[in-house]
Amino acid sequence: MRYLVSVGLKPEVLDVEGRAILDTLKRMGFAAVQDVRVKKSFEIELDPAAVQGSTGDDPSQRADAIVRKACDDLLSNPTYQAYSVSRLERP
Amino acid sequence: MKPRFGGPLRPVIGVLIFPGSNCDRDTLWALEKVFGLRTRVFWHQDHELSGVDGVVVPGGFSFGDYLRSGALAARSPITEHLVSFCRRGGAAIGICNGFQILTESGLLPGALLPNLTQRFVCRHVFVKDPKDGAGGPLGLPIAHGEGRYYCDAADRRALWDGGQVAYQYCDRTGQIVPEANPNGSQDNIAGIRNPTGRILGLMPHPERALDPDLSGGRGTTAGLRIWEDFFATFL
Repeated sequence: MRYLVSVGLKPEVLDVEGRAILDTLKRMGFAAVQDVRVKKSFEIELDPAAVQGSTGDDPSQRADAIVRKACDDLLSNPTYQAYSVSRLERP
Repeated sequence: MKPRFGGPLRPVIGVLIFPGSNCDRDTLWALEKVFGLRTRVFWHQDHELSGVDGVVVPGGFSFGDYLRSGALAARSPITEHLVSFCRRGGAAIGICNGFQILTESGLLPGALLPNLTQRFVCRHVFVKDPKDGAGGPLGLPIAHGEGRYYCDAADRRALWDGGQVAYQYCDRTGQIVPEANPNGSQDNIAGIRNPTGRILGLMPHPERALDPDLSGGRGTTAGLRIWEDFFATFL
């Protein structure tokens, strides 16, 4: 079960790196680019056998919860970061 | 200079070492040779933190600054014990990467973000204790890439209302001005304390400001003041 987690600065935090990239893009002629915010992405693979909960549980809900807890507990610092989680389909 | 502490019952200070910590030896030198304290070293995987009167979380690049500076060290076994120690009233000082570890572990509010200049900054700065009023600034060295202090509006109010801002970057005359801020820290914050004052985090290196022979003879000894103020909270 593969997930893509994207972690970035909360909107109210100044993204200096994003700003530097935006300025460079503009200098290169990308006049249409209005804003750039930099994210860090994590691909997380869960072992379906380990995700099994009690019968009746929706395994994909349990898997979502595991990934979100990993974000809350480690991958994203809530003081200044926010994250999004999406499930990746098998190629 | 005669060490401040002496005798067989002099206090014991614990120093935590993580993979990638690199200021531990300077810290041990400061504690033992300058202040005459006893020390005890703890490895990040140690499962106990005992027999110490206070703890130093030293500077460096723990876990290579992977994920976020201090994030992985904050979740090492020894840090759980540090948190219990501090919640029981134990004193701790986090220097540079140590400050990052203290914020990541929740012992101090806020976070240290990448420097606004997007560059590692290695130079001498001046800081001032807000309580000093007209007192002279303290010269200290900094060396960091992620020193920009940030916290939300509620934490910021609490820090100021509680007198928890320990040091602010200032110019050589003691003025708190943007030009004196090396990393874009909110309110020029260089260091903060918890409400009891026994947990202190700061980005500058007081262990590198104790020997006048450093920096080609221009070395600052302002570190003495930082350490003395910290020791006074628990010794």
